[in-house]
Amino acid sequence: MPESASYRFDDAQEGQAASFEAEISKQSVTAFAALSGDHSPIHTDEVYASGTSFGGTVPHGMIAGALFSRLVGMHLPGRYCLYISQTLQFHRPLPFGGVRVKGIVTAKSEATRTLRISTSVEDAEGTVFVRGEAIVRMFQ
Amino acid sequence: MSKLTRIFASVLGVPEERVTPELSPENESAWDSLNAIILVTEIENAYAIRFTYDEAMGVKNFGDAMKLVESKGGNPNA
Repeated sequence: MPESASYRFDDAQEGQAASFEAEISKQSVTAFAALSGDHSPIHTDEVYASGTSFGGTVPHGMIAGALFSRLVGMHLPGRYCLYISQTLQFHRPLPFGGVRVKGIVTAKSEATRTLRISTSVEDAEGTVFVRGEAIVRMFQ
Repeated sequence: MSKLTRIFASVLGVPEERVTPELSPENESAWDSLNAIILVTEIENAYAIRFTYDEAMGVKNFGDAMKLVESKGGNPNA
């Protein structure tokens, strides 16, 4: 099992960043459809989706939510946090293929032991597909 | 309506008219432990101020939040 990052509250700083690359494949969509129960044909039916303005199936936008979960649980800040909230804005459909998931700490609250993390899913050129903001509470 | 009022109305999902100095977790069920955290972080961000744990825990109603913001140099009525 991959090792998660282990930043503690005192380690975290505004401006601290992390990123990783992920692959969104047809198998990802099949697995997400099975997990969520969202079998909408825009995600799962090539014949149907080819007749839409997308020209083919598109991944579930909420896969970005799963990638942000991986970001905070495994990379920034890692094992000592609990997800409090996550906003999502879908700027354009997620692509099939490689994406980069980024996070940067934008605020640190001593009063609540929380971090605000700006999150995004982008391509190699920096085109943003999904953006959001996570709030995580640190228990160490 | 003040910025502070708008923050409380938005986070708690209540009309701005509902946000009075007496608004508290005792009379507004949406002011739960999760929203209490979000309220503190939203206020800190909006006013560019920081609270200590004890200061945040001392907020028992909206009136307390107004006083706390004012004590940090913010204008709770703006």
